[in-house]
Amino acid sequence: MKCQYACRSQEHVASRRQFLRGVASSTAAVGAVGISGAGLGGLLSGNPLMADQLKGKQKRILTVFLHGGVSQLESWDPKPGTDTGGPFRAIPTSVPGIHISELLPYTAKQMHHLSLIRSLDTKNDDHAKGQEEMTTGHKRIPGTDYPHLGAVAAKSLTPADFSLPGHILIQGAGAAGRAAYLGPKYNSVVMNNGQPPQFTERPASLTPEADLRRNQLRTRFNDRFAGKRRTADTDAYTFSYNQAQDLLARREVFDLQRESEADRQRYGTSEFGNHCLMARRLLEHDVPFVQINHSNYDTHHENFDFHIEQLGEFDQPFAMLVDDLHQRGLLQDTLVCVMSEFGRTPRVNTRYGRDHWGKAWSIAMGGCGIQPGAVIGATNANGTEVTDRVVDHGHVFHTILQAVGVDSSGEFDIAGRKYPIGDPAKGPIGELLA
Amino acid sequence: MLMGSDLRRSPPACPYPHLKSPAMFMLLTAARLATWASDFLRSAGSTAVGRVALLAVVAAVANSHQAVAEEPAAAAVAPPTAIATPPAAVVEPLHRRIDAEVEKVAIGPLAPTCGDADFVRRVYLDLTGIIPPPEKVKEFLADPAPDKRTALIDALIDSPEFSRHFAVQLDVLLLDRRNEKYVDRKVWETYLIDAIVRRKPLDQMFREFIAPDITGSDVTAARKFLLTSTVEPHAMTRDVGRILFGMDLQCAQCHDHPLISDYYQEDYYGLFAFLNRTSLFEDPASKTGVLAEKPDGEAAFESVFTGTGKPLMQPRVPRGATLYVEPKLTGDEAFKVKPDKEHAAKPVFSRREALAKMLADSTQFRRNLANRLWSLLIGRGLVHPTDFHYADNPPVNPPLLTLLATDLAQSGFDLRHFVREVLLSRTYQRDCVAPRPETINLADIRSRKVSLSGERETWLAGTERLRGEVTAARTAWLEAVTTNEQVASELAPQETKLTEARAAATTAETAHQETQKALDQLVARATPIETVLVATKTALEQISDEPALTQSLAALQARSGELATAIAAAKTAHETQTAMLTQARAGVTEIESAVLALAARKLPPERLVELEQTHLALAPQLQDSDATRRLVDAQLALCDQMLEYPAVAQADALRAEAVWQGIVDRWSLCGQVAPLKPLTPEQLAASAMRATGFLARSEAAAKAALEKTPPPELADANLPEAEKSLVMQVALQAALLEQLRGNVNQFVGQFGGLSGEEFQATVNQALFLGNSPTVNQWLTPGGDTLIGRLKDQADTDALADELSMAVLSRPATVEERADFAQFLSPPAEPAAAPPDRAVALGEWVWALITSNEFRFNH
Repeated sequence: MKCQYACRSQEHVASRRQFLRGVASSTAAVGAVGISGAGLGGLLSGNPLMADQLKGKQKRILTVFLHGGVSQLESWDPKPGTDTGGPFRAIPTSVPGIHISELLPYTAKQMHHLSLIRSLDTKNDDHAKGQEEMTTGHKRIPGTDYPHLGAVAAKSLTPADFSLPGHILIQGAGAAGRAAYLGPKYNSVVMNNGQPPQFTERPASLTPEADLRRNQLRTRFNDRFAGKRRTADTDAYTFSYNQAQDLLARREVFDLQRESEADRQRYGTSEFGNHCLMARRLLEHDVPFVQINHSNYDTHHENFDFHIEQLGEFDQPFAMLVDDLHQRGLLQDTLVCVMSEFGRTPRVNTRYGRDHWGKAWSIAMGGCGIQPGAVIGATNANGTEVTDRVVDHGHVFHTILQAVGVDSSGEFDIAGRKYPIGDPAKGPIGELLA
Repeated sequence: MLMGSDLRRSPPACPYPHLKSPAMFMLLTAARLATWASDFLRSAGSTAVGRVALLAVVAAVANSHQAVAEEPAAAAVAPPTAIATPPAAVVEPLHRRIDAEVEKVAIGPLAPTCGDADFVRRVYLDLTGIIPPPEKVKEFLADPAPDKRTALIDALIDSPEFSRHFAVQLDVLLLDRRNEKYVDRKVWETYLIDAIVRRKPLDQMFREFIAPDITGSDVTAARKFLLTSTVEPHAMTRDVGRILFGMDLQCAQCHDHPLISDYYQEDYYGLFAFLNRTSLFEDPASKTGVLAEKPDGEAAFESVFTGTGKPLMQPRVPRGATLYVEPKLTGDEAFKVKPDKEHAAKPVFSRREALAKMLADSTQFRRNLANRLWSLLIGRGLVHPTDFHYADNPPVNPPLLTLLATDLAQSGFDLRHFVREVLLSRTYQRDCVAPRPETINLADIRSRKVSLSGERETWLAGTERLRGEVTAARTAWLEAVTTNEQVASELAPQETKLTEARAAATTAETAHQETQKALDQLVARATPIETVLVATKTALEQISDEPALTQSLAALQARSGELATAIAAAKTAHETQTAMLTQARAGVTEIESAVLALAARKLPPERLVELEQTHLALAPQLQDSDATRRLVDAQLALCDQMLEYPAVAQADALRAEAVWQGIVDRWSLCGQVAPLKPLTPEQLAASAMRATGFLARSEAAAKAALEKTPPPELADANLPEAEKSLVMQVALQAALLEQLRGNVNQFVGQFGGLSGEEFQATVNQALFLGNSPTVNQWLTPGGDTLIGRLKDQADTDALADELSMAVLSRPATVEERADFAQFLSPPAEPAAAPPDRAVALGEWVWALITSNEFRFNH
């Protein structure tokens, strides 16, 4: 079918490793394809070592997506006392000189772990388009799908023998993270309502013993079939069941009850608090990409009341999560980004709301590979225009990936076709990279 | 930079805009320029290009069905004696010719024909999309008839399930699992099933996809193809190029393709020019999406690299004919339907319809279609990826692709004929077990290598000769096109001048007439005065003292003098006007002759068509010849691998395994051993359901749904019985797809299944098959389910056979029977045993369904 072994892609490396294990344990099958299994066992001994090396360096990405379009004026780029500023004050943060909205008092204390980009001009005021462009880093083309950041991260960062999902979306509001041409392997695995991902619990009728029995049978059938024909595809398929068994054995990763009572209290009972704690848990288990969705910031009416409410829910758990990641030594390998599909209009409308606004808005970023305590770009006095360092979704996408060590200017080679990873017209925000 | 007629539409963002610098362009295209320059020099000494029959484009547009000319086979171009096609092969049935082409280029042993059990499973999956019912397997295995394979293929090809399966395959191929909102899925699926049931030729189906609004009245469902491309001209250009011509031209939109040397910006805009007048119109009454088309709007382009381009690109089929002649209609006469709030515009002459009618004559369309059908049946296209036919991605067996494409057209684009012939071939029916290394005759390989090296030289020389001819033909054609473009560009200002000169001449004419008139009036006044003057003089001679006469004479003489002066002035003015008129007329004549001279330089469209056809006839020969040389290179590499293998096997087991995999993979590509094809999500879902007995429930539900709401066509009492039966067949298969949709969508979600997609095995798939309620329900005992039916069967051997037959479409092996008996017997530790027989059977069946043997078509 394919020229499998010329390809160094992850799934093939994985299946190859598995293949060799199979060789060592089942010389009968190997004999049937005409190869002697002698002496292969020794070659395998290096692998666990390599896995250990990787473990220390596992990079991860956490994005918090504030759906509907959070107001930059009520968050990262306040303009108090101007015609557009609204009623809230700006407060100092743990970084001298950086002020953010008073709606984010806890986050303000973590500012030394974060940086702000205050100069996004994404030229778009449409929800679906903004969500797509911010999460894929590419300009939308009719009829074309680009993979979600999570799919790109999962493909680029997941170690070969990692059995947990590489791309997890907590609370699947909005579109799930599509893998597009990267294939179903990298689609987002969704966790809704505090439930573990779909199919990670055995049905009640299926005992672990029964599952073990039937998997042993499957292995036996596959060994026999391998005597007939064996390809990288058959190996990959066999391996996926082993990974599934590994995942089931580790499914307590998805169980918040395993976290200490103290932590659960600390993060509170709000849905978003739970999601932050779950994200911490997943990142601690080296899941390469986690996205938490938080809804809903589409405040065409009563913008100020809504932001008090929404950011009130967001602020403390998020700040706690950043601090915890830092305390546990995870932040240096975990990139954290708070984004949205766009910001909100400086002009306050007649319903005390703010409307869609892609022309001059902000996001926050920090952790792995990111210069802490920096502010990139600026807007004018009342926030109606970017005055310095205009960037957009393309630059953000490159920055995130390069911060975790992925060469975003490279290409994916999928079934003989080449796809640029990031938008080739854009590059990372160099001064933000540590 | 887009310069198309409709500037409101911006082009999609280029994924490579950083390449838009001249320096980068020069770097990327340096190799291409060098090739062309050397080709050009070489062509100076090449022989005259043979003339080919003139295919008038106008006629092609008018008559969509023309006799299909035999495409030039590569072997006929530069035949090295070793692999020349014997003339007798032409009369052989296609499946024998397929085998001849495959076996001619095979290196090393061929896998034997597969066993009956593999065969029956394989053809059921490939023809109906579902594993066979166990009773059909038993029947087939027990059948002693020597021609039972042909009989089974024929029976399945004639079955309604064939139409359903190929409708699904076409659906995935055409829409890439994308959604659009106007044409309901069931309507679309019914349309596809109906077309296949009624044996609609494939080219006609594709014409309907391109021009559903024009070709007929009952193909509104076919709109779904272009609606899925959002009816945006650039999106349509990409999808039509990719799906119909196997050429993803997207990267040639803003410049010649940076990475593919033979995708030109002209190819992109040639295709775009057929489609850029079309747009989406939402019918206000029905809220359905309709294709609107304007009668005007030209395509123009300019390379962002070089700034060169065309101010007016005529519509051109990719690697095919240009639409040189179009009716010139202006104003209202160009509209069949004038657009208003309720009506979409329809032109009298539709370029989209012209494209539809030019499809069947396009070599590239035929090659793409043949390649895609081959890919559906064999698991991989001869050209792979199927969206990228280009020189550096040649078919793995060039003469075979040419053969398939030619035959497809000659058969009238008959899907069933094509499928039947491929399935009858030894190539299709080969075993998936590769021959063992020791069966390779190394002495044969060594001598084969020598003869291949000779062939390589022959092909190289032939390719070079053809390259010269193609370059000459292309140059001649492009020069003619350029000449006409130049004439057109020079003609335009001359024509403006002519109009101006003609206007000036007319003005001069009027002025000339006026001076004449003024002169005439003065003369007319002077003449009687002169007469009277003479008479007065005569009278004075007779009566010289008459004061009245004297006074009169003086007055007359004064007047006459005045008039004479006026006449003299008028004459001068008139003479000046006469000179100006003469000059203006000469000017007109001069420009007229210049225009005539220019027009005489313009070549008639027939000549352009002729030159283009000469090039089009030669280009595929060059493609095939070059591709065959590359094939020989691959064959030589395979020879080397085989010769190297024994020594490697001795020295390095790990490398030997990789080398051997490489050899088997290449055999698989070349048709020497059958590939393992992963089941599509649809095949996997329906097969798992049939294996467990759950498909029967969906089939029954489909029947019940149909009885409840029969197809509306059946209400017509006058409908002939045969027609009724057809309508019912179609409706039943469409209803079955409806019934299966929920489960199929779950499988699609996990297994993907785009055409040409890379195989992926994922943890989620394994978790889904392991833990989903849907799948686990299939393993529970119910009256009509596999496990319900068999749980009380006492004889374990018979039971093992039944289960194996149901899931794997073969009896259990001796080893499997033994395993099964052991699995069911009470073990030493009771806790390790399944609690009851039904549960045990469920575990066994699950293991079979999740095995590689089930996952792949082998």
